[in-house]
Amino acid sequence: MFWNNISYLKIIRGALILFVVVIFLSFFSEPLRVANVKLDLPLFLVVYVGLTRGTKEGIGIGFLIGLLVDVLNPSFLGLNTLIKTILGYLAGNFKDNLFLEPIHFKGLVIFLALIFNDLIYYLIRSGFDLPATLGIIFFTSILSGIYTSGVGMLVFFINQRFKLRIAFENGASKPE
Amino acid sequence: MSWFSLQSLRLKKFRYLGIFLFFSFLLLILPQRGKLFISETILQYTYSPFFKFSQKIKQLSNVYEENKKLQKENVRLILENLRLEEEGLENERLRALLDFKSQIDYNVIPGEVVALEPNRRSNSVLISVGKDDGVKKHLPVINMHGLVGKVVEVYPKNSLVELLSDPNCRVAALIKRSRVHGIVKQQKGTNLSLDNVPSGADVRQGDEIISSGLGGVFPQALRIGTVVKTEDSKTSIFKHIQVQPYADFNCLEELFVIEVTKSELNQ
Repeated sequence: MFWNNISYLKIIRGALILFVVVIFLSFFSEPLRVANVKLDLPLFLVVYVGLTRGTKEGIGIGFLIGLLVDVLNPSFLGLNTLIKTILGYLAGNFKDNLFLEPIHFKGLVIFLALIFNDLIYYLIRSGFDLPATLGIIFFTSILSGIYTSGVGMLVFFINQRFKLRIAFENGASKPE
Repeated sequence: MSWFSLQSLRLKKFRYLGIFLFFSFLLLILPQRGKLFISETILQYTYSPFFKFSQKIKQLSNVYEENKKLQKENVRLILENLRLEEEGLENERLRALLDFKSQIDYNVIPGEVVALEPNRRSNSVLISVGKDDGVKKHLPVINMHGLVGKVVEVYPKNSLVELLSDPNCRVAALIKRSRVHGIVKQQKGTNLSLDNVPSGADVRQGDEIISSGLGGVFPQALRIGTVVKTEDSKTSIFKHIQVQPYADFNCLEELFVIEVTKSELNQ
């Protein structure tokens, strides 16, 4: 029942996204840091899949990406898995939402998703030490959110242009 | 879409969410060993190949850096080796000179050749000792092989030595074995000849030529060279005698100026 609904194309797409996450975390995580501000590409991919594919794929990819991030820190295995599963579901609910048509609103969703992710993650890791968590949010997460949402908006922009080009080539009329 | 379909769709979504949240909670509450086992298994099949590749790249980069460092060190060691070889040879030469110095009866002023043929019109060398070291004009100069020449110019710190291969240089000499007298002078290039030896004189190939002490410049018994060729001339009353000097005028380094007094010359 569950497996019958999954097409091969979805599996290949999912595998490709997971591969990108592994490559990023293996090689590019440190070099792409700007003044100690990290790019949270795994989180962006969860939000991207949720916004473009819906809740089911958002949940699935959120779970898997969260697991891939967690294995690098086994003491808290399951924490990123949990948070990103929820984020994938929440982002999926905004699929085809007209409110999120403009790219900057998509950027805002990515930013808020990162803040939510870091808030829950550091709150649980620190043993519910709220002041310490808020310190991390203010000094690192906000900058990381800006960086990640900037990159995310660029990806959405390129995606939009690419889709439009294919639509025009297939005979769709240009908007007036 | 009807209300029931919508509710059914929502239930499906929650079911999906529920299943994944359940597994996430399971992972969270697993004991540490279980977490480590799952992490290691997933790492082995996902990150491990890339970590190994990344390590290989780092190793290659380290090897490249080390190679550059070793090449630089190699060049430095080659240069140092050459310098030490040279110092070793100099050491051997200086030991031999020390030995030689102890064997000669005269007072000597040791010096080194600092320039070759400063004046292109003559065969001469500039040495590192001069008036300040006690060098005087016309003093004979030797090296550990034999007679080299005489001092012709003296400066405060240096002296000009006219070599035996200079066309102007003459040495009163004799054949050590047969005591036949003659005059040693330059023949061609750095070769010497023993002149003024009568045709019938007892001269053989291999005979040693030494200074005779006559002439008032060179003391007696200084080694000059050996006879390499002797022949009677059809047009002259003297023999043609070719002499191979003991000193190699192309390889002069350490020289000794002999402090000869007039009384020593007259002996």
